[in-house]
Order: sequence, then structure tokens, then C-alpha cells
Amino acid sequence: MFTETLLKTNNLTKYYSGFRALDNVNLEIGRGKIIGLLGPNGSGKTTLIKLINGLITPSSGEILVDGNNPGPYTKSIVSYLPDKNYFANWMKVQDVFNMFADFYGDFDMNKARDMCAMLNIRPEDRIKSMSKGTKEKVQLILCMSRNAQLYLLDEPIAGVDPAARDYILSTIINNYNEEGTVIISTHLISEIERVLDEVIFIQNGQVIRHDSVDDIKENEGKSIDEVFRESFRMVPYMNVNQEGVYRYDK
Amino acid sequence: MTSKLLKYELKSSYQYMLIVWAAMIVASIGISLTVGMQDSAMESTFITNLIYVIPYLLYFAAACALGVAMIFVIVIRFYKGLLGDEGYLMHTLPVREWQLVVSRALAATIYTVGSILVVFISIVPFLIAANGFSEFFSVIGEVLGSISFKIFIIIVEVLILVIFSVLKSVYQVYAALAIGQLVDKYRILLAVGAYIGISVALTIIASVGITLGDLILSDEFMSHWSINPFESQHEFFYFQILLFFAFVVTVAQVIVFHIVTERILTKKLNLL
Repeated sequence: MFTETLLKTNNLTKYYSGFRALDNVNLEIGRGKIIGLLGPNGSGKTTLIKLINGLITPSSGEILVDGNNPGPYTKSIVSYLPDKNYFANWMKVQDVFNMFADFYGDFDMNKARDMCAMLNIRPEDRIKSMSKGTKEKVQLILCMSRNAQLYLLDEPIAGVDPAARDYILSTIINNYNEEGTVIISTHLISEIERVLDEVIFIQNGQVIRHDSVDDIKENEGKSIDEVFRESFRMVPYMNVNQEGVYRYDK
Repeated sequence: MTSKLLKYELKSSYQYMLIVWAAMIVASIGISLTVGMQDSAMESTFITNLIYVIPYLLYFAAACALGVAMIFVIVIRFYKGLLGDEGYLMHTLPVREWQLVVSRALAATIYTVGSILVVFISIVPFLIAANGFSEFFSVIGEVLGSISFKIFIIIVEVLILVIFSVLKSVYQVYAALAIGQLVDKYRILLAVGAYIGISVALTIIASVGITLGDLILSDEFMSHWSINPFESQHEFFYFQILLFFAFVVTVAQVIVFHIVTERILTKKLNLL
């Protein structure tokens, strides 16, 4: 029986070489939601996702996924799309499908094959010879072919063209387990805000806001993109001289 | 789950290993054939000299490729597979860290022991060419016929010891790489330093152990196996003690290196 709270972090802190990447993060996330983990580059989004996956260990604090610390059980219910290409050179598409079928009880091989067929990717294709974008799509297909409880998608739409973004977002929305929760980390808000139920704003390793999208729109009358821009507004360096004239205007 | 992990780990390198092994044996057969040609007193020309040299060059190239392959299956497969980007796949599989480590150590050991066997097999054509076909097999028959039960037991024990020694060498590399990944920068440098440090520590411990053993063990004990370890029941027994001691020391190192590697990956995994 699953717990009501799917993901909980208690005072989660992570240091890298003395730099505080995450600072005392307390989160509680329920089920059946699509959540945007939003923040500028270097704000701690990837660090948080890697901690939940057990790929790095916290400096202090605790992570609970369905009431358990990261380990084989949590990995069996979490489907992760990293921002790295994790394929080995020897792998063909079918090899990695077999691997997922061997290790994840919730992997749907037929769904994965159908999704690949729609992109003209054949099971016997060697992954090493694919383009970067195609490799990313295969990783997305692997991730979304699982009937997981928690989907952790790290920057799934960064660095791809608008058509690919539409493909990725529609693949996510149409294929996730609706009893589970999807966490999408990104800084491209306008692209995904229409699909989000909740947002988490993260800055300098701290969660500065965790609200439902409906509440934000109702109370502030603004889009998430506008709220994000206001929350993370940066003052540009204005190269002006003492007379107040831009040096570039001279 | 460990057997499934082992299956994929073996699959990752088998094509490369088979090619290198085949090249090694083909080159050695080539050398034995050219030795036969030289014996048949063909006229020495540039072409015939070239034909004689090419199999030696191929054998040398295959031996180098085998060395590279060993580095690949022992060092690179662990470093890239568990501590590099592939680690994002492997460490999110619902398995324990010890299963990831054991599956890789077993695969590396299987390929290393296989390579040692191939090197021995590749020597056979040389021996046949040098001594003649019937001579070679009559010598082999004589040797096999002279093996007593005791020597057979010792050969089996030594082979088991060799396998565990290979496993120990693999695990020493893993422990050093696991220590290296504790830092965010200069990981390879720290891993190399850790490997050298472990080797120096083992050498010091071994030297102390041998010195102590020399003091503790009587001259009578030492004199027994220096003459002929296989002849009498008495001497066979002493040799068994030595082999057992070597086995315990090797297995102890395997266990310690495994625990160090597994604990670091479980408690201090640090994928960049």
C-alpha cells in the first residue's frame, strides 16, 4: 500500500567542495500531479533530483520516497530521465529494452517498441551511431514506458527545437501513470506551464515557493512565466559612464 | 539480479575480447607455419623474410591489444560504467550496490582468466613447430602420465589461487577508483594515488609477515619444501599449509577491497 505523501525531504542540504548547492530543503509532494521544478541555471534543481535518485548522498537531512530512503525499493518506483546520455557504446535499442524489462517490473516493452516505431527507430539500431536528439528521445521513451509512481525528468526540453519540445511534452502528458506524480525540472517556463498542477521555485539551493498553479493564477492574476520572471529578475550590468551615457553609444 | 547484471556486463565486452583472442591464436599459428617454412630451407628473399616477420608483428600487436583489452574490462568498464555517465543508468536500477560491484568484478575476472588461458593456448603452436607434432604430444602424454594424485591436487589448488589472485587485483583497482570518486576534482589522480598507496601498504604488510614467519617457523619447516614438496606425505602437508595461507591472505584482500568499494558506493556515491 502506497503512502499518501509520495516524496518528502527533511532539512535536505548538499555541499559540493564547500559550495552549498542545496540549503535546508523541506518539501512534501503528493500523488497524481505534474509539478514544475523551476529555477535558473545552477539553482540546485539537478542536485535535488540526483539526491532523490540516490546518485549523490546528502550532506545532511533526509529524503523519503513513499516512506523509504533512496534504495532498491525507491528505484523500482521512480522513473528517471537524466540530463546525460547514459547509454554504453555496445548497446542496441533492443538491449536497453531488455535491460529495462529485466530490472523494472513496471516496464511496458510493447509501448516502448510502438513509441520507437513512430519515430522510425528500429530495435536493432545501435545507439552509439544515433544523433544526440535521437538518443534523448530513446531515453524519454524508456522513462515514459514505465508505469512508475514518481517520474523525475531533468531538463527534458532544454536544447531541443520547438517541434521536438512539443513531441516530448505530449509524450510525457499522454504516457505517465496518472496515479503517480511527474516532476519536471526546467527553466523554460512558458513551454510547460499549461501542463503544470504545482510549481516549486528554487533559487541558490533554497525552495522559495511551492504553490499550486491555480492558486497563483487566482491570487496574482499572472502566468507562471510572469511570476517566475519577477521572482528571478536579475539586474543587468549597464555599462554607463559618469554622465549617464552608455559607452556603446559613443 | 546479480546474474542478470553479469549477463549485461559480459555482453558489453565479449565481441572485442573474442576478436583479440582469435587474433592472438591465428598469429601464433601463423608463426608456427613460418617456422616450418624456414625449416624447409626456402631461399631467403625480401618476400620470404617479410612472410616470416609478419606473423611475429601480428602476434605482438595482438598481445598489445590484449593488454589494452585488460585495461578496458578492469578499469574502464568500472570507471565509465559505474562512476561515469553510464552510472546514471546502473545506479538507478533497483539493485544493491554490492550486486553492481560483484557483477563487474566477476566479468573482469572471467575475461582475465580467459586471456591467461588464451596466452597459454597460443604458445602451443610454437611448441609444436619447434619440436614436431608427434614429439610435442608424446612429451605432453609423458607429463600427464607422470602426474600423481597429489600433484593433480596441487595444480587444482594453484589454479584456484590464480583465479582469486586475479579477483583480488581487479578489486584493488575498484577500491582505488571508488576512493578517487570521493572528490569532485582530480578523481583519476586520487585513484592512482590510492592504488599506489594500497600497493605500498600491502608490500609493507607482506614484508613484515614474511619476516615474522621466518622467525616463527623452524628451519626444519623451511628445509622441507625447499627440497621437493611433492614426494612424501609429510612434505605435501607442509605445502598444503603454505597454499592455504596464500589462499586466506588473498581472499582476505578480496573481502576488504570489496567492503571498501561497496561501502563507498553505498554511503558516498558522488556522480558528477
